[in-house]
Amino acid sequence: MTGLRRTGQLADDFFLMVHDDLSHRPRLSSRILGLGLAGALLGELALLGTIDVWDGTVVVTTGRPPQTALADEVLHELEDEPRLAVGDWLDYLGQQAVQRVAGRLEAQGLVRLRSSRLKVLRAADRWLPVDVITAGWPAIDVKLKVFNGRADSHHLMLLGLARATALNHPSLWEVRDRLQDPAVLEQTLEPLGQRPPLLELLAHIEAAVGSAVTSQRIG
Amino acid sequence: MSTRSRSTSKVSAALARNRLGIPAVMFFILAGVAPLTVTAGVVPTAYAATGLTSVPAAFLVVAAVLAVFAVGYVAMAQRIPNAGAFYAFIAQGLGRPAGVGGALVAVVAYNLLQVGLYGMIGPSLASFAADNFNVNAPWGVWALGAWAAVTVLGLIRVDLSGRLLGVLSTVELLLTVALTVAGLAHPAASGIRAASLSPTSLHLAGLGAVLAVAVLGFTGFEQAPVFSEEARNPGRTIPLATFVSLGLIAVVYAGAAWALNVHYGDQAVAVAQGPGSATMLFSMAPGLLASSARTLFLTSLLAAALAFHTAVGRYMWALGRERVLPAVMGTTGSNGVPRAASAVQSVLGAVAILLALALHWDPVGQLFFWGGTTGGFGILLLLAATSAAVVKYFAGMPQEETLWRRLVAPAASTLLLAVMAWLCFDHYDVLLNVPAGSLATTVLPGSFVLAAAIGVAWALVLRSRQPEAYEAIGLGGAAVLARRTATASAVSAPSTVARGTAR
Repeated sequence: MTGLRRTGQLADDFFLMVHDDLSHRPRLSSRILGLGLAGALLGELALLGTIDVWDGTVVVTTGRPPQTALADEVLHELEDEPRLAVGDWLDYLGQQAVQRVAGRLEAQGLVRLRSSRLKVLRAADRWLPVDVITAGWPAIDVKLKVFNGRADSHHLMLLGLARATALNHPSLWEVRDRLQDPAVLEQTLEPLGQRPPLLELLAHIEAAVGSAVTSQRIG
Repeated sequence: MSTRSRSTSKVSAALARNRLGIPAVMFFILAGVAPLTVTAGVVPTAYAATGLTSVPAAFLVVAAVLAVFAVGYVAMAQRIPNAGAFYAFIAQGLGRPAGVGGALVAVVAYNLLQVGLYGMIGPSLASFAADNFNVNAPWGVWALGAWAAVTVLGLIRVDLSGRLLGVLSTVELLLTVALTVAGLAHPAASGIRAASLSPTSLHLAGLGAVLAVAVLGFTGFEQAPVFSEEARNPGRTIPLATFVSLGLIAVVYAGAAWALNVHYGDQAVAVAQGPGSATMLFSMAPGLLASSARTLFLTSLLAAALAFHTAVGRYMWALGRERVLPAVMGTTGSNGVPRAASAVQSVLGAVAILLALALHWDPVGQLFFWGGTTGGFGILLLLAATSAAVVKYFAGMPQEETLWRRLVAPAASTLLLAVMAWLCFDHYDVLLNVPAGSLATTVLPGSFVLAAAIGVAWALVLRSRQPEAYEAIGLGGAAVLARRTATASAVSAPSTVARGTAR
């Protein structure tokens, strides 16, 4: 699982995939990025079997314990508020997801904060990767594994997140047919169906992104 | 939808802060409806083109029909995904081929409404610049300038801040009311007569024409369900925002149209047909009120053009995402804007302006009024089809809603809207103000028949070639979700009714 150049956490890898390695800007609008990261945080717990989605709501089950402090925090929040709809969790976690996931990456020494010098113009702070190779790896890893048919559920979840948020990543060019053709996508993501909440989680993220775009509340 | 049982919890509080209440949804609706554009632009043109004085009554009649329509519309909107689009209703109620047909009709209609606005923006900006700054340029230059502004603002993300929209539309409404009061305070020699407000003033010959114009004025009211997922309490917020907006704009429109009739008396139609048409509403109250209203009219036109541009953009985006239109239409830029769809809409706008210039169309009488009324006619067709879809949709689930909401109201509005559409089609020459049998009376309404036919055919092609895409038609972003939950609920089988009462 944990290669030399892999952060190992879904939300971390998705964060690195979304951020352009040259401009350091996110490739997604802030709300869609938040929804994607929130979905990735829930996905981390779902991969551990710690949460399930039942009847459109998030249910905490007994799975393996979370591996990071952030995942543990999220789990506690989920426990405090049982049976809230997945969409509500995506909205709620999405509000703080960028800062929280960036904080976790910073603690691992993978990114550092460059404060905006143009605060007056409301220019956003940028998260810079400490090592560009490491930051670029998750996307390349997903492409290689999916292309060669050796993707595990971690890779497939990242592919599913890219599809659900309509992430346009140059490294995913070779596997674009899987992102664009619904039939091929379904076939590719099929292994995730064996872990019940994962596909449903992706579908909820896609629906939330759809609502964000159609209502123009994407900022 | 999602109910929040613990209203005091941290999560609910954080969510509620970020969600839209009734006023916010209403402001979004009003921004799309663009009240000042209708009262200052559409109403005088309607008097001029149709030569009828029953415009105020038409607004009241159409508002009543739309209110009946909205009963079933908002009831169904709570039960289906992607509820912001007519074609989603049609696909769920009347089947997917009809849905795709409706989708293409909507694309044509909304595009016509948008490009038509340039025909009003151009001359308005031109006369404003000539009067105030002594700058003289043909209308086409101004229209292309406005087009460039809409194109750029459509591609870079414009934050539709609820507060800004709220202030703008409130000021628009207040100014319209002030002008209405001023007009009523200075009646023509014939005095204040309420005849034009009475539905009995509507005569069969011109009925279709004025009704189509009134529908055009209300277009945008159907947008509330777009905000279902963003509303604080969708079950209450969306219906209330719809009905309150409908009532508010009905009163404002009918009032302003009536005031024109009272102020100009028997000359109303003649003035509207003369050179003073564009400033007809403002001339009722000369001075500061008129000049500020005239300035605001320009921003209102631009805001309406941008609102329709984004509405068309996200409509085509949703269709692209479902692969009904080419997949590239379903892509967004890094700022979340449906980039390709926005660009395509802009290209259509440029084509319309250049065509109008090349063929020497009258910008207001033809580009604006023909585009607007034909778009309004298309919306009328969609309203009728959507209403029929509501009846059909609820036919399978009689215990879900009251008899009034699921059958009586939608069936009545289907009938009324269908009659209105037929009257409109039958008297299309009156609507366009051309001799009977002109080419335009066949070409313009015929474009919808063509769009619907292409849509149905395309749906049938999709059914055999891309069954996955066919299954997802009308479901919007929730396509995968609906399919997943359909299979999931087949396993765990908790019915939606049980879910609604359990929480």
